[in-house]
Amino acid sequence: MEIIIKNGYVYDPLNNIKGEKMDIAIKDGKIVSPSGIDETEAKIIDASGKVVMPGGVDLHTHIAGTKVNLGRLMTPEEHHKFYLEAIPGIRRSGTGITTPSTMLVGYQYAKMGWTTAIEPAAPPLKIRHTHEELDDTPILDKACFVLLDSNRFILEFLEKGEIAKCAAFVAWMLKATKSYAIKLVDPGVAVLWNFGRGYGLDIDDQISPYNLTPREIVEGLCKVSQMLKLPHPIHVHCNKLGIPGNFETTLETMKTVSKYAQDEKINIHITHAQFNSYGGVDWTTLKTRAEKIAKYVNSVNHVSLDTGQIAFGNATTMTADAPFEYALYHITKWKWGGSEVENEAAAGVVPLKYKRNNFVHALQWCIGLELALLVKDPWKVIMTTDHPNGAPFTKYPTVISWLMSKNAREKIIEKLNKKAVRTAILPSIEREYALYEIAIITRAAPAKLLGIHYFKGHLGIGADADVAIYDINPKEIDFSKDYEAVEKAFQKALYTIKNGEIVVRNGEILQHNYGRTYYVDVKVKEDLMENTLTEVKSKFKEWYTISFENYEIHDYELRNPYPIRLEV
Amino acid sequence: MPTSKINVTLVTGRSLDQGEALDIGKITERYFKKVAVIELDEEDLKKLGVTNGGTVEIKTAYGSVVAFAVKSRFKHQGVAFMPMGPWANIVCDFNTYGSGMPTFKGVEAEVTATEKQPLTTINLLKEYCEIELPSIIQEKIKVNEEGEEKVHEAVICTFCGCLCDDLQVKVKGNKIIEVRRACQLGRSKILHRLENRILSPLMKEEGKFIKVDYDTAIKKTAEILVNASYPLLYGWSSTSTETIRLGIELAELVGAAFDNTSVMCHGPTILGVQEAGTVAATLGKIRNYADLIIYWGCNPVFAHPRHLARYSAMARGIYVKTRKERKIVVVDVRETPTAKIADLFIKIKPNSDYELIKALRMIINDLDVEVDEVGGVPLEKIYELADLMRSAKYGALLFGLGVTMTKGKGRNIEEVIRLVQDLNNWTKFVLLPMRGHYNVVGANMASLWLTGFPYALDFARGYPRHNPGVTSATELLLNGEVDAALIVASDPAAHFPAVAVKNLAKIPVITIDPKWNMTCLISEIIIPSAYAGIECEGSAYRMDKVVLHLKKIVDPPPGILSDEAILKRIIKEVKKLRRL
Amino acid sequence: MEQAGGKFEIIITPKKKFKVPVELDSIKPEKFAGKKIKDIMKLIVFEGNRKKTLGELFSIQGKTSDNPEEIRIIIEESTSKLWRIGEEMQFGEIIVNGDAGHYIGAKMKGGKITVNGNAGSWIGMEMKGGTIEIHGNAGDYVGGRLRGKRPDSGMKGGMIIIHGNCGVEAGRGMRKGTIIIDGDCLEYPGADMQGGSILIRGNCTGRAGANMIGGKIVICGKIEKILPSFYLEDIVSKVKVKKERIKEPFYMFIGDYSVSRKANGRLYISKLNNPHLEKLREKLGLGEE
Repeated sequence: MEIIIKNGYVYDPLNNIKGEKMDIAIKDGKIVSPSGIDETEAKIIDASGKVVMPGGVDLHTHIAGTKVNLGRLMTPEEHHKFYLEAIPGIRRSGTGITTPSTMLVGYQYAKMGWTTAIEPAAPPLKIRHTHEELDDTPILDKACFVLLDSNRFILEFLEKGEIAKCAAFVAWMLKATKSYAIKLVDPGVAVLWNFGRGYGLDIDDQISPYNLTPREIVEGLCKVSQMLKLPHPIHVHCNKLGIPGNFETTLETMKTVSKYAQDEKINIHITHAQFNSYGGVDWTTLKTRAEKIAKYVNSVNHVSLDTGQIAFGNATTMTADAPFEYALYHITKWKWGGSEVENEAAAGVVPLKYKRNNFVHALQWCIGLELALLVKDPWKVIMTTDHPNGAPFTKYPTVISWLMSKNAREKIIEKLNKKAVRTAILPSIEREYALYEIAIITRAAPAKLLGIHYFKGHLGIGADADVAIYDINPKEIDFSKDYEAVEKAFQKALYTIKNGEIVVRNGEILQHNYGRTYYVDVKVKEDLMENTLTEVKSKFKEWYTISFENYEIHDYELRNPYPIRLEV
Repeated sequence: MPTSKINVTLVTGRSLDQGEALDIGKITERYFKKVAVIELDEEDLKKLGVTNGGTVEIKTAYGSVVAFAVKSRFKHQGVAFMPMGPWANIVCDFNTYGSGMPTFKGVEAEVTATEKQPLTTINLLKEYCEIELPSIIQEKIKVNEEGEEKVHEAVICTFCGCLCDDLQVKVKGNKIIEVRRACQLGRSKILHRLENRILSPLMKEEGKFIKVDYDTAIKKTAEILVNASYPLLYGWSSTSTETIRLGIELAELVGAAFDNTSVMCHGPTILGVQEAGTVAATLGKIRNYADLIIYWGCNPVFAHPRHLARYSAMARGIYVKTRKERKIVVVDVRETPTAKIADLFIKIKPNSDYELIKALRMIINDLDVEVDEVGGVPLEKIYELADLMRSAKYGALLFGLGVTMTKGKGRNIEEVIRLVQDLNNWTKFVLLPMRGHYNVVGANMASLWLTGFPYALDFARGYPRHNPGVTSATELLLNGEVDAALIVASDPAAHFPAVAVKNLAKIPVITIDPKWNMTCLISEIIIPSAYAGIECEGSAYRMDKVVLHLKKIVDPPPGILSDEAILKRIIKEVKKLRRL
Repeated sequence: MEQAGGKFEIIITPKKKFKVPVELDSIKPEKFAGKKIKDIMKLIVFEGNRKKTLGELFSIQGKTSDNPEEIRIIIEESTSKLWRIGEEMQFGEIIVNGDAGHYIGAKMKGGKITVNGNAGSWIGMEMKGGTIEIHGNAGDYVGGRLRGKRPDSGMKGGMIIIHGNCGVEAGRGMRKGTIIIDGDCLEYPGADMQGGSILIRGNCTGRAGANMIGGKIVICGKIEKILPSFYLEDIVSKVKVKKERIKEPFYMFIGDYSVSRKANGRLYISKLNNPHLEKLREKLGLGEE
């Protein structure tokens, strides 16, 4: 199908387009020059007075896999509460709010104009489950990151200083698990969790029984990631997440890889940084250190971060930071879903409700926004809610309104816990994001950070035709005053086009299709790979309870696998 | 002095013989001889004045049935065991007490000597369904043996939740010659794959099965499902995850109830997790670290034969290398073969697990218990167990149907979970449900991610709803609330309470299965399928949620399609009928 | 006490014997108020997965009013296949002649429902007010809180009276309100209870008050065992439930301490009907009353 979107105000940061009125043409699933379209044959969308952007790209959202499913199991309440009826032939049914079923995930994202989403943490032994769920997530293009920081093989290679073998192993692992990047979650903590320990693990603590510290794991995997020229840098959930005073650890984590930085390229991504930007010594003395984190990020070129914004209401926390989740369970005193995977990782799921009058929650809300507003370069800071840890991704439109409007923020601040308001610096921040900057932090920058900006996150010729059209007129609207209109516009895209097909109109799903699953296939030297795998296979039998042969996922098991091939 | 009548507490479950026989075929003489039995303690048998192999009548508040009495190798006076199956289902308590799970264990029964003979599988079905049954079409399959001998490595067994993936299968052409490393349950399934197969789709016409082609059978199936006001799609646990996902799509299209066999097995575990969460670990963690393993209400020596050697008590772990380095505790109502290998065997009165776990929680949390015994277990023993648990370095509580099926159901499991969560205040402790069918976890997982609910689904209003005890297959059949059924990879006629089977026989039933089973006999349409993991590929989830990709080793019998292919065609046909 | 309706009666009779469940969440006085009979006939109901109108499945006669408080709906020849009658109702009255199915009066806020027969499970689920009276037996989870829900979501008010017996977990998770069972109940009455009162005049098969931290359960009949997480505190000479006083001695247990050391749920067990609990009293050295 050929489509031409006429007269929209286009925001395409990767191509430097800042709201110019122009036409966007689509043919065979790609953006083409408008001159290549026969307007008499094509579908014409009149976008006059509307905003046109590339489809949203979410680089950190827990939507598929074993702990997400455990989250679904533990929250039947919200699945009774919110449901979507099937429209036979057009869309499937679904349920859930913080842990939506997979069909609903795809539809809810598409409804807001998002077209790509990444599941950021899966343990290799269970990652096939992640892929099955991603395959049942409609519309979106997707990928997943593999948890490697507490992987027994990796730790042995790093302990022995065998970095080349470590790199070969990671290359093999990415292909075998069909994943896209290296994920670290509270590096090394899963090892200590084997013994029920690990809460508060700091960057220079020993990860017994290994002669390693989290710092060495971060540095080692950063080196590996750069050796393999992976399109996305190490994606790091820092140590001491959620613990007052943890900002020092976050700073150390970022600083420790600055020595490996090459050519102004990002070599570490700090995820949901809000949860790692705390001062103070305990919950009553909690402080914001967003300024310190932002200061460092502003002064260097090798770090990117995503915010991990919370929103008030129900959330379901789920991370591979098992000791932290266990601690959270003791605060909520309600439900705890703990889980561990042999030789690889651990996780926890704890439902939680963020409350305005709770000092800690209120301050957390402020800190997420402070980070976004204090980091000067929008190409370095991505908007996320660490769905569903901070809030369900369906809150993105509301978060956007907070970033764009001080009025919107003040409305919330009026009702917040007063001590939190006094402790935060947010009330004094005047900055309001421009729409162009929103386009950067929700589309252009995540695509660039993922290394898929050649075909995603922009509307230049040759890009995948993933387009979102929103019902706001940037010439007429006062973003600061009319923040509710902004929220509404992003909640219900006028049009969402995915791969050249119109999938959403006026916030309603028009058709159901499936996107691609991206993964990285890095070719390393054959003899290095062979030696590494021989060593791996010999230990595998002793360590694991499955056969090595059955570990690897084959292409034909996925619906639409799409390898990104590299050679080093 | 024989009294000719004794009172026992009846417990039903898996026996090795029953497991082996069911994969050869439920309509065989062997199945009858191995499953129409009641195992009695030697003393109880003497009291009855019945010899080994003699016949007895078992009567409960729910029904009465005649079976062969077998002398048990173990001591369990006052408790009798019947293998799960059609005979047990007549006398079990069909009530689910709001959980969807009938009460297959802990039922009070009266056993008397009798001259009557047990009814065969088919006659039993005839009698309590009060219908005539068509005859089975038995055909021999000629297998192509041409070709080189080949050994397939790392084959994944598709019997139980252990999903052992180290099997070695030798084939020649299309014939399976040898299976190594599997337990007798898995080996039996693979070696006997061709026995009692259904070789062509069948439809019932005037009380007889006639052969039709796939298109005809599928068309008629689609018609029945679309015309039903509330059909039930049930089974799903012994097939690939791909098939289950298609089944959910079909259920949504026809506004059906969709349920899997966890309703009969670990459904209550799911109910517990919904209330409390869980503390799970993969089997490798247990094998490598656990220095205390508690088997509570399960008998893996019979139900998961290789579990002990591969994953638990006897397995070689990285840090815990031998049996000697572990303490094994078994909690059960009767001495089982698993109890025989325990360091500490705690015999508990049937239906008292809840009280015992509550007492343990009190003690572990340093609170007094004001009674001398709980569930027949003296207080000192409970303290002994509590102490073992708190002082373990890494404890694992593995539990089975002894806790899910008895009084309490989901509450029992919620308490198990809370106990393990409490223990984590002191030391590392995890729990693991011993899942039965090889892909029942896959059925739960796929249902969860596609609908938000793990089983007992209902699509009548066009979106998923869930309420075990109301929307579960058990209730729907017990109360006769559905008007058509599609049964895939399961045999409810053999495993549901008799009252439910009677209602199932009254509605049009379509069965998709490789072999002749009891549900086939009450079906209007039978659609034969291939065995996933032997004759076609697919994914399956182990009891600890590790997911593997099943291999294809040989071709299915000529013309036989996989479940996945059949479901795809049914969906296509349904869409046509609904003009989509 | 809620105002019972009465001036305007509408009689609904099934046109056939239903096989699959029929969901009647549209049957409540609010939905009928201000409508003519022919409009009421057009209300949507579900027969299994088939969307139908009320008029297709039932014959409807009578007079309606603009004021739902004045409306009395009578369902004749009712069976257990009729579900969700009176769900979320707030005003008026419903009388069911015959049996009823599941979810009768679920999430009710006011008004009165009477069933002259047996009823299914989840009667008065999470109700907030009003009265439900079942003359026959009821199923499981009477007045119960749905699975997995937050502790504060249970029954918040109202009264449920079961004249016959009921199943498991009556009053599950309740916070306020009263449940009276004239007959026997199965296990777990008052499980997860936080407040409110449950009176069981008959026997209970066990596990009363599991996980309770507040509220009161009175058992006048027999119960074989009390959970080990309850402590016998006292013997009282009488108990009161709502306005009713029962003047006989009751053992008073407090628990469920496995949930919290601050638990304050109270179990009152008839002393006369449970002589086997005497040994507990002796063990604790509690004096004669």
